[in-house]
Formats: sequence, C-alpha cells, structure tokens
Amino acid sequence: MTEKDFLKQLKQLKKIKPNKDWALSARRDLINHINVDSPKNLQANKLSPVVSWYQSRFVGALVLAVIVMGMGSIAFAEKSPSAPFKILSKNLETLVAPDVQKETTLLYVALVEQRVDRVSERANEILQDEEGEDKDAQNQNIIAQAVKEYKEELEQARESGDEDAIAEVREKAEILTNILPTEKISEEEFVDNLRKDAEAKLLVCQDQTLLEEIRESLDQENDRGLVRAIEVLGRCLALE
Amino acid sequence: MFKPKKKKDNFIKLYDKYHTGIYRFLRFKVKNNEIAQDLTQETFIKYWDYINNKGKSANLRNKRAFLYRIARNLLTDYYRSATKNKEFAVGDTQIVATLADVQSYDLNTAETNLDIGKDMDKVLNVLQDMSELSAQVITLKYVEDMSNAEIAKILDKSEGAVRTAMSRAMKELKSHLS
Repeated sequence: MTEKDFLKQLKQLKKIKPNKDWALSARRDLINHINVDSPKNLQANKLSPVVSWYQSRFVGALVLAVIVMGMGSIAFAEKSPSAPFKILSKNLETLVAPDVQKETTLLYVALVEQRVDRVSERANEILQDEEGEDKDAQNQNIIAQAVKEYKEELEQARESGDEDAIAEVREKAEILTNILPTEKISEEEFVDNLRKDAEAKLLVCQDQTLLEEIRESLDQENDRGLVRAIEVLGRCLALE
Repeated sequence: MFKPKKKKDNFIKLYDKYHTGIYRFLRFKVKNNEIAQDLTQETFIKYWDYINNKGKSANLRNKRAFLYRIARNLLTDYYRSATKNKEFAVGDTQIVATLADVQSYDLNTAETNLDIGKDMDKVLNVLQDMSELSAQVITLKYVEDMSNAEIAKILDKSEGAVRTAMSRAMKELKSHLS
C-alpha cells in the first residue's frame, strides 16, 4: 500500500457515525441542560404535561374537538345545519382577517389546520356518542363562550386597528389557550415549547434541502418563521 | 421573545454540525461505544457551560477547534482516571485486562465493531502502530479535513509545530508502509 492509497483509505473512516437514536437522545438532553439555567425555563419544565399535550396528537385532536363542539353549539344556537368542522374552517377564515393577521394568530391557525382532518373525524365520533355529548356539555358552553368573546375582541380590533386593540386580541387568545389544556400555559411558553419541540425533531430530518429551509425559518426568530419551520419539518418527517 | 434564544439556537446548530466528528474523534481512541457517546455528550455540555459562564467574553474564533480541544482534554482525563483506577485494581486480572484495552485500543476489534470493512484493516493497524501525536495529526487532517491552524488549536501547539508533527507523521507512515 502506498502513502497515497493509505490516505485515500483513511477517508473511509468518515463512514463511522454515531447511532442516530443516541444522537437524538443526546440532543434532547442537551436542550434540557441548556434550558435549566433560566427561571422561566424551569417553569417551562414544570409544564411538561402541557408539552406532552402538544406532542400527543390524539389528545391535541381531542382538545380541538372540544372547540369544534363549542363552535358547533354556537352554530346550533344559530340553527345552522353545517357540520362542526366546517364551522371551524369558517371561523378560521374570520380569525385570519387581513387586518388582524398577527403572527401568533397565524401560528394557531397553522397548527389547527394541520389537525383539522383528525379533529373532524374525532368530532363526528363524539357527536355520535350521546353519552359523550352529555358529559362534555358543560365544557362546550365554557369554550363556546370563550370563542364568542374572542370573536368580539377580533371585531373590536378590526374596527380600531391600533396596537392596544391587537394586544387585547392577543390577551384573549392567551385566555382561550389557557382553557384548552388542563394546566395553564402562557402564549410565550406555548410558542417556546413549540420551538423546542421543532428543534428536538430536527435531527430526524435527513433531507438537506428541507433541513436548510427549517433552519433558515427558525433563524428568522419570529412566530411566522416558526410556523414555516413546523410546516417544513412536518413534510420532512413525512418523508422519513 | 426569541432574542435570548440566539445563543441556545447556535449551540444546538453546533451540535448538529459537529457531533458526528467529535464522536468519531473519540471513538477511535476508546474501546467502548458507550464511553465515546458519554464523552461526546460531555464535550458539548462543557462547551455550553463555558460559553454560558463567560457570557460575551466567550468570543471563540474557532468553535470547532475548541470543541475538539475539550474532547481531547476529556479523553486525557478519562485515561488518567483509568490509569488511577488501575493502581487500585492490581491483581484483578479482568479489570487490568479491561484497562489495558482502554490504554492500548485494539483497532482490529474496532474495525469489527464499527463495521467499516476489512479493507480498512491495514489502515487501522498502521494508525495503531503510530505514535499518538502522529495518529492524531493524520486523522484530524485527512479524516476531519482540518487546517493546520485548527489542528494547532486543538493540540495546543503552534502551526509550525503542527507542520513539523505532520512531516514526522508522514515519515513515520512511510516507514510503516514500506
């Protein structure tokens, strides 16, 4: 073997790579480690059930199904024949009216849209279950009231269009978000957890083009970028 | 709300980019895969703790080289610890044998464990027979594609010293191949 051959062969050592599962697990551990320092993040760690709520698609769908039921109850009050998921879509259009297209609203909408199919499926199951309907009646009323108030806030924001009105909408969105899970979570923590989750799942994405797009989106350091990153990550994970 | 996250984001990107290289660097030198994994993770924890404690003063020009330097120091600590433990384990043939494996890494075994093909057998044997410094400069240069400046930072030597080490390593290599 010549010196040149040897150096050529040496390059083959690049094939040695760590186990992918370990790399992902170590990455999660590191994210936890770097988040330990700040009190805010300590608080976030205490909210792990909420993070789990987000991560669990089934529970997420179930929670959104409750919203659908809530919206459905409004619709029934208005004697609308539409199915709940259609009402949800209609309301989403209202929520994203051009003059109130704030980044956080977009974030919620993007997430809701991703799950709309599952929600509609689950909502239909619940509607067919009389016992479940009775059991959830009280929750439906609470959620329906919150959604109604949220819509009123949106109307006010649309009329005024000023920063204070937008801030009020955001506050209402936060109240609404707090109702959804069983534990309270602020809007900031909600977004924070989404970002952490996206970062933790990045390593699974093997498509370099999509990976680059996700990173660029996360680099934007705003909610719109995060939404984009989540969307692209979803596409990338679907490829795996 | 994202501003304080910049540092964390950069750190995670750094992990994504370099964890494979760091793992490989360590894996060549320890027998056990789990030890290489632990040391890799510890490398990044130490890096984070350093930049977190130093704050803005932690202005690292070459983060990659700094990571490898941490890894190298951890490796030294690991060997030192293994040697120290060996002193307490005299008479225990099993432990002594294990430590002997740690100190003189059997690359043939590694070849089998790492599943990199039999063609690499000779390459790994040659690396094993070379001095530690020569093997390090060659692997950093030709496996990790590092510049002399980066290698110098990792090995805590001047660039001139690295060029000299590289020259010696190549001579040593030729003598092993002839």
